Amino acid sequence: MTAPPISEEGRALLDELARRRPGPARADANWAALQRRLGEAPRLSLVEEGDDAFEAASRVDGHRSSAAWSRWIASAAISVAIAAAVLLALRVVVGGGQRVEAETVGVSTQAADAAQGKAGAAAKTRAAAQAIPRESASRPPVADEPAPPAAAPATTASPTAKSSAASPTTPRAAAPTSASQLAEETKLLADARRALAEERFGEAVEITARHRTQFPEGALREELRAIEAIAACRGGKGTTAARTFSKAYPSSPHLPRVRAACPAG
Amino acid sequence: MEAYAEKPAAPATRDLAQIFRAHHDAVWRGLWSFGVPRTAIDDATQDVFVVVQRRLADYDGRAPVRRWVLGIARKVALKYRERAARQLARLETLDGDAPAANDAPPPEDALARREATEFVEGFLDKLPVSQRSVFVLVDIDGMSAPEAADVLGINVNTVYSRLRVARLRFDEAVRRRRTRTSP
Repeated sequence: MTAPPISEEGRALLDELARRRPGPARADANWAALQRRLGEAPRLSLVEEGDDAFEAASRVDGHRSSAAWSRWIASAAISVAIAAAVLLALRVVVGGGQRVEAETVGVSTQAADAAQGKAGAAAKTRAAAQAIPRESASRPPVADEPAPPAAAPATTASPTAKSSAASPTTPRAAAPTSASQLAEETKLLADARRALAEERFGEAVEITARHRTQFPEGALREELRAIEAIAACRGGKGTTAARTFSKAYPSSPHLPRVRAACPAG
Repeated sequence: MEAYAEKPAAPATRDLAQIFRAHHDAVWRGLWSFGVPRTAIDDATQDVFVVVQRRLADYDGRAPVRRWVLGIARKVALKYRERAARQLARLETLDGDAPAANDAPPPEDALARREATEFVEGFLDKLPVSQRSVFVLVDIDGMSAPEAADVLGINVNTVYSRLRVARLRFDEAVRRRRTRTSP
């Protein structure tokens, strides 16, 4: 049972169409757009995580890394906001300066907003509602988290907040992280993360080095150092960065990832 | 039109960039033939490869990559069609995608090629989606009828009967075009 064959003329027309539609420019544009989408948190208009047709896919761990990294960024941003609120509370208690309070709140919450819209807003309300620093630092930020598993932000947020607050630098230097600086750092983190995900290890290391030069005391330095260590190991540049990382951040939530990438580190 | 490879992919070829390069065009045309509105084909194409990326580890290599990818495209297309049906005919028109108008006036044979492409596109846009999808998969992307049946989730005999009607219509359209262009 067959269908009638197509005439030669018709065949030529169809081949011409296949050559011209959609065309190489469109393929390039879609590839670039796809890279952007895979680099960010999955932002799927029609294919959603809960969709049963595609659900099996979302269970595969290796391919959830981009979502996991996005949660890192979110939790890091929240941590910064909370850490700033802690320092602010201390400063208000010590100095009692009303004007300073207003300024610092503005700066820290603005920074978080810039980095992570909704989550930042959630941190803002939390920081405003709870003046007691320890409680706000240990409470898991569940509100407004787009990805269902709220456990990850809960576990990553508090150690990061603590390490920021307890870092050897003086509170005065760490607190006023400007909004533009955090946005810049977040961008570097996203770039580095993307380079790592696409296995451009040399580029990932380069980006983390740029971050180190620009923001030696940056709020996201722990995350960038983790990427540096992972990229160095996977790119065959040795485990020195991993060892440095595990010494500098012995209780880092990122340490398991670093160890997984660097068995010897 | 690249030859359709029947053999399953070796693990080395199961890499998103490679799959994208090899199958982007077939996916794009597939989505179009499955009735995704013109204005949404690029978004839908990206959706397909986002799913491909997520499901890559689950892909067992039993079906050839193209059939697997087009199967995903068909599911994505269904969703877009459901949405488009809700938004109704507004997007159904062809003119959302004018060819790039930024270059200098094209030479004569380029004009002829564009005319040829537009003729086939116009023909395909008028075909019902059921026939168009079979026609594009088999006669443009070079699938066999059983493979097309597998992608579309329909009976092989249905593929043949739709293909038959589509080919008759196509040859009829080609004949009419010839009489129109040559006086």
